[in-house]
Amino acid sequence: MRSRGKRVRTFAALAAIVMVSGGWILQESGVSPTIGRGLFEIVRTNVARNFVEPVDSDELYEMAIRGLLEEIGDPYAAFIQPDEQRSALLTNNYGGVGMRVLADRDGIIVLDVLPNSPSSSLDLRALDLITAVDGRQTAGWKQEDAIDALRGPTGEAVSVTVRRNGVEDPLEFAIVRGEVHIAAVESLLLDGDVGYSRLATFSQASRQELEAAVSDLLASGATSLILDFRWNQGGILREAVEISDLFLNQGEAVVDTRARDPRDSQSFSAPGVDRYPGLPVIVLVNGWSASASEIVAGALQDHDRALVLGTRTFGKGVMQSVFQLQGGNYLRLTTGTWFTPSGRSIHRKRDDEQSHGFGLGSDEFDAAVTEAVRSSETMGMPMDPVPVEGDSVERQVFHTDAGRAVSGGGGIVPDVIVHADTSTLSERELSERLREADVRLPDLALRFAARQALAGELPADPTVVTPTIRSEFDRFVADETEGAIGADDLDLARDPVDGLLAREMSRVTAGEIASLRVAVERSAEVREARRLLDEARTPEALLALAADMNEFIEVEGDGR
Amino acid sequence: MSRVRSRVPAVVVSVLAIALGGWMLQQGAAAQEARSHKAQLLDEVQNLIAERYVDPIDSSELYRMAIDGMLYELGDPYSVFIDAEQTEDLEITTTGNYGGLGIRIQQVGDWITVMGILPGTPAEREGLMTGDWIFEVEGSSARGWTDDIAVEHLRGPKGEPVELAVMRPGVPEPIRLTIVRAEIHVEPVVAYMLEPGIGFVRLETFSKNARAEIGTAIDELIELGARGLVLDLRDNPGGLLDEGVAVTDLFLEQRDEIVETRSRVADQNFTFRASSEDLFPGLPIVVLVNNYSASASEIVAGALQDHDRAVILGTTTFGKGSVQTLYQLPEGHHLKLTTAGWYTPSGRSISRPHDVDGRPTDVDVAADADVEADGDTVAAPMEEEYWTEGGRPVFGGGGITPDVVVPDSLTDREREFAEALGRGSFSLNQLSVRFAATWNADHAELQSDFEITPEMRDEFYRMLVEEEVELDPALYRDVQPLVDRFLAAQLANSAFGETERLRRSQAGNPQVREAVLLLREASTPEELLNVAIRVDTGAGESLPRAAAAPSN
Repeated sequence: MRSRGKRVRTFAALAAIVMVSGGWILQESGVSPTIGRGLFEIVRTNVARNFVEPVDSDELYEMAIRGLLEEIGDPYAAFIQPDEQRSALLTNNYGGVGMRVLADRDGIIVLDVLPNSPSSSLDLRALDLITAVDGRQTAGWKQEDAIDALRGPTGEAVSVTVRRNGVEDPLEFAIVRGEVHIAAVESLLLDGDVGYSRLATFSQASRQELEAAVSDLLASGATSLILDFRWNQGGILREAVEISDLFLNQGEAVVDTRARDPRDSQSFSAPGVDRYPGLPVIVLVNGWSASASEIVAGALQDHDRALVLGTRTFGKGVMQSVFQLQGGNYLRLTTGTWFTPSGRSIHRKRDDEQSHGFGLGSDEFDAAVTEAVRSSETMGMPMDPVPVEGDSVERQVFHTDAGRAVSGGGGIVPDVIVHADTSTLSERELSERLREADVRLPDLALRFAARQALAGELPADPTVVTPTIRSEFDRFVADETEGAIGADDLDLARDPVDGLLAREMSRVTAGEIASLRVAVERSAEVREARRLLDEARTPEALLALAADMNEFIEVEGDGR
Repeated sequence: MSRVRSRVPAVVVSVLAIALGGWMLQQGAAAQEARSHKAQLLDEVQNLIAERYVDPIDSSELYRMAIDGMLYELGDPYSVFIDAEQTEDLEITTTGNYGGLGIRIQQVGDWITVMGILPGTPAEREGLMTGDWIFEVEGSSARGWTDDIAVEHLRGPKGEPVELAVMRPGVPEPIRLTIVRAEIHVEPVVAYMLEPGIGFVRLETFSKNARAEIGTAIDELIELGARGLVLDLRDNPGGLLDEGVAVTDLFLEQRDEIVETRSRVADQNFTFRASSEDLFPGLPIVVLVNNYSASASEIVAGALQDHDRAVILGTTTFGKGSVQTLYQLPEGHHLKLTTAGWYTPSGRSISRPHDVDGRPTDVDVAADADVEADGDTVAAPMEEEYWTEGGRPVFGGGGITPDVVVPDSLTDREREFAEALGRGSFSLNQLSVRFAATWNADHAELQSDFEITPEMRDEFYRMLVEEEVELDPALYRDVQPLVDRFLAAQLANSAFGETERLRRSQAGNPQVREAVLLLREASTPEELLNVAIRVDTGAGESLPRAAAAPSN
């Protein structure tokens, strides 16, 4: 009966009071703070009914799960649903064609064909140019689009059109996608009979791969071993135990996990013998070495089996369990802390922002690590993970089997500290300019090398950067960046830029291992490791050498 | 349904209605069937956490986190759960004898943001700034506080100090301050003549008597010969929606639509319409807005724009056009939930998409739009087009986009200067206030038409040096117009009061200047629109632009 206007007014008056920061009288008595399922349900039904946007009543449970995991403050917790491709990351397998590619102006350039892959059996080759995929022209595609187009479910075919140097007509291939395995281990033999093995991640079967790689190195004459765990953010706990086992003797403790629930607590020790008795081993680590890497480094350090060299590790000393839920869902949750054989927890507490995503299989962490690797290998300036405040506080001292002092409370501290090459002022200047212009030099170097290779214009020895190549690259960079970065800028850091070029040229003409060799030989940590291995011929000698070096360094407790 | 006359009974009625609704929901919940799969999944997860998580968490905490988490995942920074302990005791805010700090606040995501500093208040004297986040009050974290809770903590007996920590953009460490509460007088309306024929009226907030006071102020300006009007809503965060509608009503014809609320809740779907005729027919109006103009301010600007009644000038507004409803829950808890959105007469949504932490997610769009010196603008990519009554295109997607974009940004040198002050945790405003107080105490009375003298500038510079602000003389010289404006404003305030302060602080303000230029050339609202359109594009077509200029 009241006019609409009046009703509108009254509502506005009510609404205004309700919705604006006015306040109202509420008489409260006996307020109980207990919040339980009943209250949750009331809130949920209210939201489903009244929220400004429609939201599925059932969906809200899922949102509650996800939100809950954020709220508990576990940066590694995750709710994993059936449609997510998590298995790929645990096994390092994916459905695809088995080629490393670079999407470029003229099409998709094949950089590398993986052995025993669908592509290798069809005789696709490095430097082939894929001009069409499933009938679609590929010129000017973005990298993600190229990857997306080539990956796919095992058994499904994809057709590619290829232009090959020296062949008149385009070639057609129908590739049946299969399970492609990315090797977790890359190895090479360095001068001086030093074996070098890099482990990217502790994926399934990584122990087998490493064992095979080390055997090969020994068979080729290696008398010492560098195990590179830099940027290795971890993986499967069991693989870490088995890899430690390769170097330890039966019964030696590897890692001790402790949780509130005994079901999550377990002690692991080496089941087998030291496969390589007497072999001097150096483990390389840096600020991005985490979790399983720290388990192995910690165990080998505590048993005086290897020398740890590099910079202080990440400090992820907690462990997660994965629980299977109904409906094909999984819950990953931090369930316990782990301890090295000497009893150290190396965990560094970080809040959500600092460690969010720093867990197995997270995209953010992968992206961050890739970026760190790139910037390090360009300029020798690794991006360290966010420093944590106040972690110098509690550093308890523990002891290795032989009585050496080691500390807990925040990453593994190497026996020999070596930073990656620190950049000169002018190199930092170039880094800054690249950042401001949003230019990724490694990407440009790869693209340049690939195009040069396609045009047949790379030198016979791809590790040597000739003056011609240098100026061609300068011109290329100036073109691609529309003048933002030119020869003058690159002159600020000629040496690292040359190194980058050499690495990419090697990659494109001689393969991944060749480019790895270039990178490894330029690395300050590897240089130092080789120097030590040159002098020390046994594991004991190695540690004695390190102890002498550190005599001048103060160690808490009774350090030597 | 009895008529409701005064506000208190209305409050009780609304609370009862809401409370009853709450109980009814509970009944419904109790009567439901077996729990769905998803519900069981939640149970599973909670049980696993309770049993196996590395840290112990009890059941009540887990449910609290589930509620908070669910609301977080909704992605709306204004929907929050308020537990009984946080609610404490809330009172009706009448014009009581409380002391405050002199800040306008708004909960955005997890943090209370300072939306404005009132002139002549402890907050201004102690250097709080618009854009600060309130981090701690008396040592307790202010995270997750609603506006009401914040108000409760900040208000108190006059003369009593309160310890604050605020986070300021660009300053890595929290800034700690102790502020003594004082009685805060808010003059909602200040008005004066900018020049013969052009009046200026500023509205601080849409408080209880806003419409009446504005009406009176404009009448007075017209008596003084105003034939054009600048209505300043910059930094006006809103207030009573009722008043927002009522102020708009002043300028529109009867039945003109003002704003529409749309909700899935049946009785929150309303179209508010003007109830009387245009009280100032034929008066050309320029409405000034910036990105701290919010809520009721946006209703006014949106309606006047859509009816071609006024030209909107400045920078894109805040974009809070959502309505929250407070639901009372059992055990003394509350749920504040966004239940409706506002739409302007042409159908535009005012709400700017914010991520759940309160940061606008369309900020890249706005940032891409450059305003260059000669007024040539790059249009930001816009979605749908809407149309004013007269057929001009206007754009939706977040905030009100002005018809004429004039940023109020600092020059590079001015920015450097502000940063230098910021490093010492000072604001220019705060230091000017201090300067004005000592100057007026030590020197002869100022004349109303006073100018800033070299002696004043030197004195101020000396003050900055004493405060250890890192400043080189060249920088100080370069920002002289800015400094002059601030010093003049505070000297005027201290000697002559609020109106003079406002007049001085607006002198040389680019947005006011532009508004005056437009009004000089128009004697009717239609003419004003044409002038504005010509200015904007030079091509006879209106193309509103978005630009997010920083507010200082």
